[in-house]
Amino acid sequence: MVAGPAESDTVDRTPVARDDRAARRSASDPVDWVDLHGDAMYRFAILRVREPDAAEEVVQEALVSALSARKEFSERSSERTWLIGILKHKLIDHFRRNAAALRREAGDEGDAAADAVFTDRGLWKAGSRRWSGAPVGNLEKVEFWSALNACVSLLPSCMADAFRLRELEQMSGDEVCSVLGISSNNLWALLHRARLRLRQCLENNWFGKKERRAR
Amino acid sequence: MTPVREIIRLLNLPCRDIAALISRSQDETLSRSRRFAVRLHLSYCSACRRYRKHLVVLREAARAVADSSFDPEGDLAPQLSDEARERLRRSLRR
Repeated sequence: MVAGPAESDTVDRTPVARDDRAARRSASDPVDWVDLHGDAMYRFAILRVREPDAAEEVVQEALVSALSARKEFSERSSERTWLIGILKHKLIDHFRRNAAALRREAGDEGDAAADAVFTDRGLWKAGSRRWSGAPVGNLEKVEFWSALNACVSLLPSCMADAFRLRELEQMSGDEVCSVLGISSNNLWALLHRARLRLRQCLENNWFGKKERRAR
Repeated sequence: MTPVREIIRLLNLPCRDIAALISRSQDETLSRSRRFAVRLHLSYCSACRRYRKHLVVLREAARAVADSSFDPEGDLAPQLSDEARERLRRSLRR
């Protein structure tokens, strides 16, 4: 199961207050789903797949699937929660399809960018700076989010997907292997390379920046 | 490889291999011998100690922005274009 953001019915978070009522609504007419839930679903999807076209496609699949399944919608949860649940499944399908396509193309040739971090004898080529901790406060989080996504989008797709599922969706290693159809060894190699590259990229673009050092 | 040679190999791993083990320790429990090899290496290698710290921060930072209370606001909040909305409505009408 995808561990995504949970729907909170009790906390009024200002950015989503405007469609709080829409979120809590149960059983509206499907023709209104796009207006009521489209943006929320799109935001959920694009955080995970990054390309607007892919995000729209997954949202469409979820809505169409929901349309045929609406008799099964139980009034106990909110309509938004139900739609997001379907969307989560479609997102997993998307990652599976993507991974299958990537497996057909690529072999496992090692990774030049990750190897370049070390000398021939396996020592670190460059030093790195001390990092302040994880971002706190909404402004820092928003900026870090941009930097992280920019760095992740520079990774080869298979590495990016492995990292997103493991560290953003917070799936277990076994779950990621199952979704991507890879072995544990493949996963560890992908994550290792992703982390090496991300560490370098984030050092240059966020953690290493002057105003963030030595807090 | 005999056990002794395996141990000698583990105790002589360069930073590149230790870094791979540090990364792997974030996803599964390492064997005792590997854990020991990493700990020994870290006792004298500040570069690898820093890398381990960085991976911890990276994980915390990713978690901080991935969790449910974070919602990118304003200009950074993606929205469906009008054309996209219309496409979605059309797919529901079929």
